[in-house]
Amino acid sequence: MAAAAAASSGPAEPPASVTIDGKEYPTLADGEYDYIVLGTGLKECILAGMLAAARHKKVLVLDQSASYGGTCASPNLTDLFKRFNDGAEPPKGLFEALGRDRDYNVDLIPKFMMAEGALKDVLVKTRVHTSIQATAGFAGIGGCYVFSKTLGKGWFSAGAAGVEKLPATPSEAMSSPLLSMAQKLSLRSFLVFVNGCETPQRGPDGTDLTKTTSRQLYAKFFSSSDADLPQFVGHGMALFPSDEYLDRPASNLVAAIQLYRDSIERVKTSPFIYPMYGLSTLPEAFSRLCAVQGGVFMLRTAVKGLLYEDGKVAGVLAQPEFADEPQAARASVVVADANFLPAEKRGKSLGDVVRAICLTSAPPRGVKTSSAQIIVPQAQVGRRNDIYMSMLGEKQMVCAKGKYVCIASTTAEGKGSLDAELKPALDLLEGDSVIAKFDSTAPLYAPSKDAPEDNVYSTGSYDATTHFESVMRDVAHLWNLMTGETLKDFSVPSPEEAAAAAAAAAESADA
Amino acid sequence: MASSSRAMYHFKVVLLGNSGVGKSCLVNRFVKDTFSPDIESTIGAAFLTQTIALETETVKFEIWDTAGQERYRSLAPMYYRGAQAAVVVFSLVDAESFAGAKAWVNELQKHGGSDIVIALAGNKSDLSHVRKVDRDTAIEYARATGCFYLETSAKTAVGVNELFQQVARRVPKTAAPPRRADMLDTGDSSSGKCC
Repeated sequence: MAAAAAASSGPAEPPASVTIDGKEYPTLADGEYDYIVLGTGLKECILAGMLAAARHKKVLVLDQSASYGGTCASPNLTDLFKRFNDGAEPPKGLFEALGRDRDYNVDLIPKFMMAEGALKDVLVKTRVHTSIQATAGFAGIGGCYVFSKTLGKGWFSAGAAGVEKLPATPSEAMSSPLLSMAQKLSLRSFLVFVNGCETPQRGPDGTDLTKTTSRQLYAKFFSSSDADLPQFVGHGMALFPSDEYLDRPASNLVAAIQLYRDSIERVKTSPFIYPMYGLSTLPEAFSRLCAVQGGVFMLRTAVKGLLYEDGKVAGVLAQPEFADEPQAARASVVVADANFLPAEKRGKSLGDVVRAICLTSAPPRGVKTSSAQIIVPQAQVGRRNDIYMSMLGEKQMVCAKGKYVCIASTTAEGKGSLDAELKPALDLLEGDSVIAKFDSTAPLYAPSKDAPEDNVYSTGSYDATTHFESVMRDVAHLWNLMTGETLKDFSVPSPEEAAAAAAAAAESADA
Repeated sequence: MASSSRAMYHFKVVLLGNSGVGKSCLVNRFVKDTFSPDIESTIGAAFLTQTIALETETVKFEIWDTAGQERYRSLAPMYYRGAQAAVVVFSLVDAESFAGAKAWVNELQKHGGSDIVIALAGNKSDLSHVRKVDRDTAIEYARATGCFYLETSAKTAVGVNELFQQVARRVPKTAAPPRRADMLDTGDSSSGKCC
């Protein structure tokens, strides 16, 4: 390992010191890299892995945490409690109520993978899916549910608030109590149109969907008095978190529904898959992709600051747990989780994402599957943003037997408190079933918009959507800024190709 | 399809140990029967595989090297996850690496599976003239911690096959095969399936 890295990249012993902008520092790791990545969240680990595997860049990744994942970490009970209680040890009672520490891998953010989404594409292109296959595997999510305040209206009674399973197949759609017969027929002709689009930009009838809004497209199929169908389609299937999409090009809507359709075709019960043992499996697997190409990872290393030369970043100052003083390594590009950057480099916060992690002894009311996503559409509860609740259990290896991890999240709308923002979703949990609850409010940051002049890229943070499509849009955008390549064109040589290239390089070095 | 009556088992084996003790070389000796201390041969591969035939069964190992993430103690939990066996390697000519091995055994017993088989390998036995770790000390430590001890040389191949043979014999043959990504089982009996 150390020997192998040295063989391919110069001197075995790193220099004793590194000088940046005239100042001398003790050497951090090997002292010189092409890229230094701050944070081990999913975006940072994907980019680090792609840079190492596809571009043969020398990458150093730092994180002050003792575990991988950043915002996408999946801590056990002790770590979870400490994170939310300023490092305090959890009380004994927590384990008496919830069970063994090691059974827990609790995600900090509730997201699932679209089975045919952009993250899956990158997993396959980088062959990282093989390491996940061999260790954890993916589980299909058992069902998607939607909240309605008047469930069963006109069927059983005047209706009552509750959740109902979103139909996953045409036959389920035809028997769903969510829609009337007239609505089902309208929906059917709309879906025939969407299926007929060879690309999301063009309707089967030749309509230019980049010049038509979603609202205009709906008007062709749905009665103008019908408020339910656009909600059902836009929030339940296309998974848009707010109604902003209505006045944007319909091509976005069609692409989102086609992704939903293709993903549900794969999983059958929902469009989602989930890496067993928690989301942190994903950044961990990408970290390995980077490491097998010589990337260096340092956890428990506090980032002390960025070092500059002539207005451009030249390195990073950081202090590993084992070191007595800060050390520095050179790199001309830094890629950082927004939380690692000084306030002025994060950009403007786009709002707050509120999340409540509930460890419970019962599933949310109305959920009959062992894993689920529940959507509370904004219009049902007088909001502008949907509320989501994810539910996972022992089958996904995230908690003890008989317990559930339910995470509610939304974009804050100034309701005064986190519980007020999330109330409709939290109300789905029986009060006495909630054993522990962990609340968080996190500012939402977009990634660097343009190539930054100082070469410090922010990866931004994680939004309230329930899947990784927006995360992958950030990754695609940053990759394009850094390399000029699109994710579509991105590829990684196979191990055989890489070995042949390495052998050729070694030969030419010898000559 | 006609097949032999031999049972086939898949096991995940992880290698642990300080940098420079010869973990990659051991894997290369076992999988490719080569010794090349300078070439990173795991490029792009998540793990290597090798099959061992025992008297009545065949064992296929998925062998996971640390990919250097042990250098700053930054191995991801997924590395140990689902491993039925671990080979903790130290160098017989480096006393510090033996202390390191003890720490790795500790870590495994804390984070690994409850019935994980741990092999302790004293590598570089070809350099026994400059040996720094006493054979009896290593044997005694292995006995106390429930591991088994073998001395190996990735350079001369001595002990390497024996090491993996022993691992193959000791792993309980009830272990389930590794999970596969295309098993999209939801855990709900009505909808569970394997595609």
